Amino acid sequence: MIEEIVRTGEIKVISREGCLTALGVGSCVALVLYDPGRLVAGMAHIFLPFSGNGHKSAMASSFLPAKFADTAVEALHAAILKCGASTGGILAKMAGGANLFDSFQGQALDVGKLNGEAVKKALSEMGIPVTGATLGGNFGRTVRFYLPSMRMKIVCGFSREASI
Amino acid sequence: MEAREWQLDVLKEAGTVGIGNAAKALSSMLCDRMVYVSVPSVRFVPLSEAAWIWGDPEAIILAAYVPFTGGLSGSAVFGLPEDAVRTFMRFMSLAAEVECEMYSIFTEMANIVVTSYLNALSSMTGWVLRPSVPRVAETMAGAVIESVLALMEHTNDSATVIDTTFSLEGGHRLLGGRLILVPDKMSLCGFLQAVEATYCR
Repeated sequence: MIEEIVRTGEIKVISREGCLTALGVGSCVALVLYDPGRLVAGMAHIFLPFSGNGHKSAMASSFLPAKFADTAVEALHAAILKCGASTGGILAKMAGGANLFDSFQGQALDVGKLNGEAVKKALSEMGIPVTGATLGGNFGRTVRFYLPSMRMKIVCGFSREASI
Repeated sequence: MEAREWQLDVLKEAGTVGIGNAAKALSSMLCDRMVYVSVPSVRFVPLSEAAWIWGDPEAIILAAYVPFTGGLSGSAVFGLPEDAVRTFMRFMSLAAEVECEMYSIFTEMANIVVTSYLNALSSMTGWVLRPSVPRVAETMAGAVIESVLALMEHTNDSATVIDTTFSLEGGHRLLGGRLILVPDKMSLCGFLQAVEATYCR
């Protein structure tokens, strides 16, 4: 089986059989869009929630298609359509969005939470249903998505495991 | 602005002085045991490769994240494998069973290492650098680096990373730790200019 490693900011697509892997996901979100009918799946390893937010130039200078949640969802959608997915039957699964460093000062940025919210918002705007998600917590995850089973397996170290 | 060759050398030199200080502090904390350090490497790491800075992105480590401000701002990350922290505690004759004790000892180590490192950088420029309280996590190394860059809202596609490894005689083997410094790009330019003004006249 082919295992594609999806690194921070990247998008990868597989079809029929294979595995999409994001290693050590912290506050990032590993988002998978898949078409069960055509057996096409793509993963985006999303780093920050917004491309704008006072960093207008940041977007233009980025060569990473999945760096920002608000633009990554659309880019991932386009990428799986290009590889044969049909517009009608696309579903989503995602994992990540952790906040590793509990703050006792109470004012620290929770990038993980913002990432999760930004992805959910973009998905609902595009009308893509989420069939499984595990977000938050204070631990990193390795996320694998398999075709043809369409299962997402999540390992958190410490022998904690989940499957969605 | 891309850092030129000499600027990398300045950062390397600053890192060497800093890490020397940090190693000395760590050694005295561990009853004068030998602490070995590598010459710091200064690299531009693309964002997509950041998770591999530590080697295996899935390796479980104890990590302390220490943001710092002042003339130079950025983030420091001090990390050790868990078994190394337990060995250190044995050296200090402390009970390793209590989990929260392990965390507080590790936080103290991170404090000492990062502060002595930053003090060395301060003394090169006369600038005050203020580290904040370390925030500790125990999880995958890749997740740590990625989250720290995200907390810095790192909008560039690459980061300047000053990376040093620590090792220590731990019974039969060496225990590897790591200190990674990620300066904010804007403040890094100012820092380099200040060093240049002081030393390269």
